[in-house]
Amino acid sequence: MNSIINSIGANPLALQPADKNPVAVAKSDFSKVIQSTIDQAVSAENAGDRAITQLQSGEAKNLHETMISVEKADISLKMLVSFRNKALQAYEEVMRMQI
Amino acid sequence: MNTLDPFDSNIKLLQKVLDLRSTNQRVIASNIANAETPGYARKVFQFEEQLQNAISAKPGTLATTHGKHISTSPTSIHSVTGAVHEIKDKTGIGDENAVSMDMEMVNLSENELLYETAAQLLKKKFTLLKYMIQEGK
Amino acid sequence: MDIFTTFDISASALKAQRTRLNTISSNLANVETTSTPEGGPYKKKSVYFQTKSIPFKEQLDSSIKGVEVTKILEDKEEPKMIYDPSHPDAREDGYVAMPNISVLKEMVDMMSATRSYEANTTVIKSAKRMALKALEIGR
Repeated sequence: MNSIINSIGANPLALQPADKNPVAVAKSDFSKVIQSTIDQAVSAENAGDRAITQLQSGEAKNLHETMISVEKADISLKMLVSFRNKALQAYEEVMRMQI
Repeated sequence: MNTLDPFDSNIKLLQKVLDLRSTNQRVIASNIANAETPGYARKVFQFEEQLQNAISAKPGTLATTHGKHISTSPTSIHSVTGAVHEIKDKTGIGDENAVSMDMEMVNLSENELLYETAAQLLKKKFTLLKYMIQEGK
Repeated sequence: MDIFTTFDISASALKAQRTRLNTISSNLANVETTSTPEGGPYKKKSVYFQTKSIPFKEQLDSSIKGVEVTKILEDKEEPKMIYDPSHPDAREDGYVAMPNISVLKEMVDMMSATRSYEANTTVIKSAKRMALKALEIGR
């Protein structure tokens, strides 16, 4: 147990430089994350479609590669959607707050 | 971290294992088909060692800094390709065919089992990912 | 190169073994045939296997090969001479030229061909199971 506590203390999270606006930093990081998630989902979707056409046209290397590509596209998309749902939920909750 | 990449290195490993075992299966099929072809040299597909090296590779091992450098060992799982070796018959009798049908059948079963295991584990990981994503309503 | 290459390899082996079985059954059927349209007794036939290249896209696997029967060889040995003056094909000295076929050898060869055939069907079944398992990845 001690070793876990020590290891947590040993690597403190790197502090953001003091001159950057913390709100702006948080917003830009978050939008970066969303953007890259969208990009990843889109490229995974394209890769999955490519894998499908490759399989049907006979140039696919292995059946499992196609299945894995399609699965990854599926998961990426689901992740994106759940991301959106969560963000929407958070937004609605904030809107509901009584000021 | 900027990208939320849910596909960890184990998934990449399992994918690579599926590729390698698939090729191994073809090599074994070739041996079994040619078990009685005179002069045929038995083929063996070796990848276990390369894979081990790639899995346990520490970041400090030799890395290639230039595109033309040939790495001494694959440091990433992605670059493991395995190699097909020929084993020539040295006994000097018969038709120079070193394929033992029984050995190949055993290898076939073992390879198939390991392939199916990797596929099953991959399926499990994907199921788990999907569960995590969807249950976080 | 895809999962179906295995099917091609094993299918070529099945075809080759079947050809071999056919020659064996032809030999067994003609074990007593003393005259043929070409003249002389029936000559024992045997198959000659050679590796066959399976076309695929990747150079890495150029060593993976199927098998095919390239030639059916006729036995070049002298026919067996059996003394039987009452045989319609007997020569003046009473000897008949019989095909040089040993039933026992042909039976052993047949068992070996059957075993090879079965082994290759096992390979096909194994490949099919692997493909089906890969399909399950997404289920």
